[in-house]
Amino acid sequence: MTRHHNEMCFATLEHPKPWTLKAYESVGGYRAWRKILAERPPRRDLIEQVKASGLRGRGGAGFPTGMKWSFMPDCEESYLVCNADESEPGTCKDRDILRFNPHALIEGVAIACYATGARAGYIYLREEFTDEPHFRLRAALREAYETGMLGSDIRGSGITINLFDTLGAGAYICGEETALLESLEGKKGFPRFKPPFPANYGLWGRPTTVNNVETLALVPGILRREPGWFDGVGTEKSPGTRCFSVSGHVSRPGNHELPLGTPFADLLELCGGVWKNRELKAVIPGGSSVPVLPAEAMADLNMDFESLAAAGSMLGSGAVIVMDETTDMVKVLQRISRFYFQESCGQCTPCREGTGWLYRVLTRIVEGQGTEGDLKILEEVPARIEGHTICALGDAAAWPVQGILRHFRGEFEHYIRHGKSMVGPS
Amino acid sequence: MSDILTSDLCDRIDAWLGRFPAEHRRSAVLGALREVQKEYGHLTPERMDAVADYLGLPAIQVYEVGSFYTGFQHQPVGRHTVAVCTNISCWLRGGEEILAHIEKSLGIRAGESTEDGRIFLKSEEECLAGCCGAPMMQVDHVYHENLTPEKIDKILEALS
Amino acid sequence: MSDPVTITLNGRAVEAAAGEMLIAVADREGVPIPRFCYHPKLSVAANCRMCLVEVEGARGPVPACATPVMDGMEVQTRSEFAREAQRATMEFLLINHPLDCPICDQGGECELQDLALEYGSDISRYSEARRVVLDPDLGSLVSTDMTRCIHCTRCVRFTEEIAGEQELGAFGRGEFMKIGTYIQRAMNSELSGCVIDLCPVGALNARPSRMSARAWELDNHPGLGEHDGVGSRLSRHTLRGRQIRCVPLVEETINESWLSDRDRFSYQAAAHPDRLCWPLARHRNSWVRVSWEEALDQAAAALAESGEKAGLIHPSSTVEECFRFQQLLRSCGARTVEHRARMSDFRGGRQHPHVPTLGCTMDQLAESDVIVLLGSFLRHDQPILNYRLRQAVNSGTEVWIINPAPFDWNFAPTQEAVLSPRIWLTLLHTIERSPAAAGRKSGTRFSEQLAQRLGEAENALFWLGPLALNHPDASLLYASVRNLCKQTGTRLGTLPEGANAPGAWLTGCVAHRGPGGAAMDGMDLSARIQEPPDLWVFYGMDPACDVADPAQLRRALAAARTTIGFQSFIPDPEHLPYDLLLPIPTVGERSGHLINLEGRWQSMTAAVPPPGEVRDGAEALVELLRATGHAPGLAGASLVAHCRGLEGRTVRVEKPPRSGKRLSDKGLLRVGSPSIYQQDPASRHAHALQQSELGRDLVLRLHPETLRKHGLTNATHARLSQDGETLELPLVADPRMPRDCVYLVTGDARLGLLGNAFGEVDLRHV
Repeated sequence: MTRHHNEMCFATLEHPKPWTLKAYESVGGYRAWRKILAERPPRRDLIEQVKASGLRGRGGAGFPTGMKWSFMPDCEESYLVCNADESEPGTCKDRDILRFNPHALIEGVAIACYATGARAGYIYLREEFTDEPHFRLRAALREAYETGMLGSDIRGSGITINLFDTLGAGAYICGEETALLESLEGKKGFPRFKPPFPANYGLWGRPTTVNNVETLALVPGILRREPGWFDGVGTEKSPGTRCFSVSGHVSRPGNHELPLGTPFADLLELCGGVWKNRELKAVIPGGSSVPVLPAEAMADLNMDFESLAAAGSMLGSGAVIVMDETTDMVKVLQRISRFYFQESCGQCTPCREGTGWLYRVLTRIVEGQGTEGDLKILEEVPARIEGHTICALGDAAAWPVQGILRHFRGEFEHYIRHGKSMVGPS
Repeated sequence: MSDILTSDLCDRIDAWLGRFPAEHRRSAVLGALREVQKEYGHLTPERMDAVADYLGLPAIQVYEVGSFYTGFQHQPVGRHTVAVCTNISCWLRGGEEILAHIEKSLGIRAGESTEDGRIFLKSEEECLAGCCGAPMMQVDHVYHENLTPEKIDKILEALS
Repeated sequence: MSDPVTITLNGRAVEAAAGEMLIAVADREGVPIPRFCYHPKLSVAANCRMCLVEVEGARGPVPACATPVMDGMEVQTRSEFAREAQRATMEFLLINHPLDCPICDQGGECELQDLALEYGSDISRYSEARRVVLDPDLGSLVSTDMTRCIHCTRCVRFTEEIAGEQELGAFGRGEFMKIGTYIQRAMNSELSGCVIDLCPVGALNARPSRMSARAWELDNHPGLGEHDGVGSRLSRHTLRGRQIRCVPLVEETINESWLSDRDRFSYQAAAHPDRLCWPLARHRNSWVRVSWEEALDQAAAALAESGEKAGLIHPSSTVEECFRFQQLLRSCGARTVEHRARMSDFRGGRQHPHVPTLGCTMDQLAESDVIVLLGSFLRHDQPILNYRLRQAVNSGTEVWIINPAPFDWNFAPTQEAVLSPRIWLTLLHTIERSPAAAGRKSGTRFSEQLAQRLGEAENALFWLGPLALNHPDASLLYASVRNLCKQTGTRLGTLPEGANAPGAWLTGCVAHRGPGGAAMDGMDLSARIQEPPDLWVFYGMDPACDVADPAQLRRALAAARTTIGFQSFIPDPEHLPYDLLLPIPTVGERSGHLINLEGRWQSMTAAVPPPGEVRDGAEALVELLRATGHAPGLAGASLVAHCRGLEGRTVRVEKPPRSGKRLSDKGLLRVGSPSIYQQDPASRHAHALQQSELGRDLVLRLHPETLRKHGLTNATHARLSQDGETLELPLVADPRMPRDCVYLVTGDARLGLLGNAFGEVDLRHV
């Protein structure tokens, strides 16, 4: 029913051992990299090609990838860092890319190193990927070195690129690119104040590009296809495909790589619709930190950057969290707020002090002890966190509160007035 | 090499060190602490001191890292680590009930270990990126998805 | 400096340098921006979010501390938008901050309290339980009330960036993040007290003055550091004539905004129970209180009746005291007047320049390419000078160190040679003679490399520390270094002990030179000890601790008829046979001038009156001078003018001796200099300093091989004997120690009357 389903990052899925070099090469893998090794094009040409494809970062912020690469100065020592610290609640696509198509990532990192002038690339996996995702990546790295895709003076090209796998140790904040760099340097994951941006002052103070797994895994596919293919897929402002992790109250949760702009209804159908024949209540369309949208807003919505922005939310990490009619939105918010409270790094004041405050107020409401004044706190405290912090975790903690309160205020009022939920068994 | 950092542990730490330029030994802190924890089950100030010594860092910098990341344990814990995801996607599909089931059947609360030292039930706050297989858990970092109480009982029983 | 730019600050056009942080520009322009984490001397953290301001075109409020100015930037610090952001931060800071201001030492001088007045609300909307944090024990100097901590991390950044050793950290995360040491461990930085000044709230306070006064009741008295040659500017805070605490004054060219713990906490000595408060005369084995008149009469009579006399004065005494001291002694015919009591080689006494200096100002340190340090643990000898040296290292200055023991530096020396003092002279001769010093090719040895660096450096400096100045062959070392410096165009500086060594030299408190360097037919201290005088006068120094060889001096004292002490503390009568004790002021009670090692004159006035019948020291000396029938002349200001005039005198500098090595090569050599809080009687009587980590250690440091040779491989303690005294001390094996040496600090009363700090010792099993 859907065009271009799983054609890029998940292209090897049909293969019996999709994670192997053989599987990857059978779908055209490493063709782009071999061509670069043979022709040694000026790195700026590659940046232009990526710019032309319209590729935007798949980590959450959606920054144009080619432009990010173009910020990298020509210098002796610079780095490419792949953010494989996938941890935005609801998101599990990068894990599947690592498990099922690690070579796409490796080729993407190699190309990105070349295009940004980096001599080495670091792939930073979250500690929870220690087992299968890390094992598969390591095996693939070994294969890539053995077949002469990486290393010193690769295939006599004079090009030297080394890739290293590293692991975190358990911290959501390390998904923030500068916290990740700090962690790579062996420090606490305290985000850095920007500017300077990593392109000027990154890993060990050297110019650094940080890209998400999916972003990098898309690059080889973009380069090996004819120009115009990728931006021909998707919409004008959201070219290409993207991986959606559909979770929550659907019949068949799953990762689906689809053209941007795919109607939400199609995505939902692909996942078997809302489970248990229930009605759709709400969707968090881009990972737990983006504002929730009610069913009515989702009905005719297309899944692309601009449509979600127009609806008052964001495409974020592509995690689509579906909630049915029985969902207690106050408890949803309490659970989400607990997460940001626990994962706040503690560095800056509004997030350190504000996330705990929000969680405690929500807990009081859920326990039937809420007051009318608490609604005002839920309105004002997030506004005092949002935009006031060093990194985006503050915003991530504020937006869900604002979103759920905007669309489901009645549920909070019910809790406060009656001491219990208005949904579910009474 | 010291009493704490055996030659085998030093080799494993060196493997992490090998990923970074020689002047950036600090970068291997996370890797070194993970290896030490893998060896001994949990971190202690003495073990962190040994890492600081080996990497040539002020001990306080190692303590900071050791106390920041939730993957590091500072008390003795059970041999197998069970981490149940209760974050939003799993929560919507019964993650909390799964956790409650495990707590009940092991007779411990999240954050505790069984008396026989077999299982450590980690207090997990993060989403474990298994959302499409919710509810899910990790046992020693191995994913177990689409859990039911029956499935869990089998998995836990198999742990030695 | 980058290009100038123009920004609009609250509607006013302001010039700034591109890239300067907004908060620095605002501070310069007198535009107040609230802040907690920002400190001009520390790295930017941007974590408190109090300095959020409005910048035209920015998406949200921006932190002024981390926002570089750009041309045309329009900034509002007081707009409703900016103030709402600032109010928001204040609300968050206050939700978990205990409102225990009435019992908080910081009350009245608390940055949070001050800003809360402006930005805070009188009602907290936070109705949850507040955070409570357990307090770490940071030792005797810094008290902790961490529930009040607002996590600005100034203290953490200070220990890492300024003190040079990260002792504090932020542990855990989020709301539960704690500032502390993680494990129970006291701070052992020599600058630890600075975290008290830096802490914007009452989380870190001064332990010695905890709960003893409200900030607004205190009187401020500008003063000086009285323990080392830096001359830090400070303010003594007093309450009803009592010293309560001491804080740094900002003097960018000296101590910037820092202060050593020694200067900060030594005021406690003033209230020590052993203070000497009135004149005491010896009667059999106890003291009898006498009046000043009686005391002066007795002293004058003794001076008149005695034959040969000798006077030793502490190098922290003021210019006025030094001048009067030598005037008194010399009027009475004394040939030995000395402030260098820890020195034992006085040969070639006139080879030294008139007044010792660093060889440059502290501000010029960073201009040096190479600085060589021979014989000093500068961190403990002169903490602030060491900080300034560390800053120079951070800006690219090379520091080469030669010491008898490995010390715990807070910067990375370019090279550090740990060598037995027995071979220092040979090493210096090798460097002198190395062709590399004359600009020719060099080898790989330390001496050759150093010679080459000195030869090629445009701006080099060679420092002789106390361990070189007090070396048994100090004169030969000095001669060699002087020659080397001449050859290579290197400046020569010395680091003598005390707060006023230049003043002691200038006024003639050296045997061979009178005021202004006038040649004197003096008898140096070591010769004097061999030929003991009838009468000794000690001024502000402890003959058991502040001398090169306490055992030898003790024997010389036994031969004297009279010993007079101008002291601030009552000595143990068993310990030293004084006949007369005259009370003089101690830290914070003294008025007068000190000359620091840059040659800078600074004056101080007493912050509090001294206790009891204690008299100003210089005045007491004048009284005694009169009592001996001599006219003091030069009253008041004219004395200072006279002494300043002495600076311009031309002094003949003689050729130094080049041979006659005295330090024997036999046996185990003891080596050491006073530990940080044992350098003068006042620090020895400052309780909190003595209780602190740095104040406590008394160990024998040896090479493991040396321990083995003495059969002490597994021993924890050993018995050290020297000159008839035996002590049992803990052992520390240190593979970097020279094999023929044992390092042991000096100046500590617990060491009893051991012999020379550079003497042969015997080491045995306990």
